[in-house]
Amino acid sequence: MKKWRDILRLRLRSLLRRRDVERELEKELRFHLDQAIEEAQAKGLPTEVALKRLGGISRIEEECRDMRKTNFIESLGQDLRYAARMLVKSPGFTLVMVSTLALSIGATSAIVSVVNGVLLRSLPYQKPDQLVRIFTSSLSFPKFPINPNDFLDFRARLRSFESIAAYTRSDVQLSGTGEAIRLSGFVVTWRLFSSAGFETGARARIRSQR
Amino acid sequence: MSRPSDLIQGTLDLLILKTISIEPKHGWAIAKRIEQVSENALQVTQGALYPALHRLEQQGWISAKWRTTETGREAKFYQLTRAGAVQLEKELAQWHRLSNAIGLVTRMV
Repeated sequence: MKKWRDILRLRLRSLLRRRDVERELEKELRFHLDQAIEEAQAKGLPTEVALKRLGGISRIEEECRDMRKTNFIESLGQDLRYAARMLVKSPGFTLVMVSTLALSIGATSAIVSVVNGVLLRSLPYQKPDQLVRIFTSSLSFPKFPINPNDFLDFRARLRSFESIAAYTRSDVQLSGTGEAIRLSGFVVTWRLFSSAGFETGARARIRSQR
Repeated sequence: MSRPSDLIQGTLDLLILKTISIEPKHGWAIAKRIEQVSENALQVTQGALYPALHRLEQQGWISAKWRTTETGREAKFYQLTRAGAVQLEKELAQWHRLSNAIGLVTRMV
């Protein structure tokens, strides 16, 4: 546990106290360099030889920075700043690009929510795979609503289904002191809710609403 | 050992961890110590050493502290952490296994 805390502390320090970390890196390498020069002088060697053996400081610094794994975040920040500058410079391009993105993101999320609601999410019934809607079919009207007499016959004789129910739209008017308003309504047969799988709850609700 | 690839991958880590396992040392002392103990067979350049030190520090195997040397200069001293000691044991075992295996193959008649 302590190890991960230390690592996190180091990373944050490399990122937030960058100037300190850079100065320390420079100081550390400088110390090494000075030691090398001292050693060369003590041996009576020309200091150039010692320096050449050490290689380029800036390359070493860069490698150390890579090891600290903060280069990625730093260059990301630079890229973002550069992008923002370029966007401000050409407002026409920015406008076109932003509106293109906005439109496409909006359209995509609209489509996704429709697909999710209509195709992906199952119907909120107990056994949605056993639920069917019955039509009478003819050449001119492949899906024509069933008339009440047919419905009564089907209900009496059809054995392929556990239960059959019917509904039809029947809006109602509500009027009082103010302007009358239209309310959406349906006339349903008694078994509709039990056929859809809402046995007790819906029936109780209908009773209480009477 | 001018480039890390001149050594078997990961061996420099082992050398560094082992070298500072006795007492904390700064980079220069680590390089000198490795040179000295290996009778100048292993030369650790600055370009290989410092990236390795910073990597080991990032991995939590060594920790660094600024201290004054005997000559009165500020230097960054590295010491082994507990996780580093565990890692050293692992790398030593791995190294012994590897060198034994190579020994067996090369002595084969």
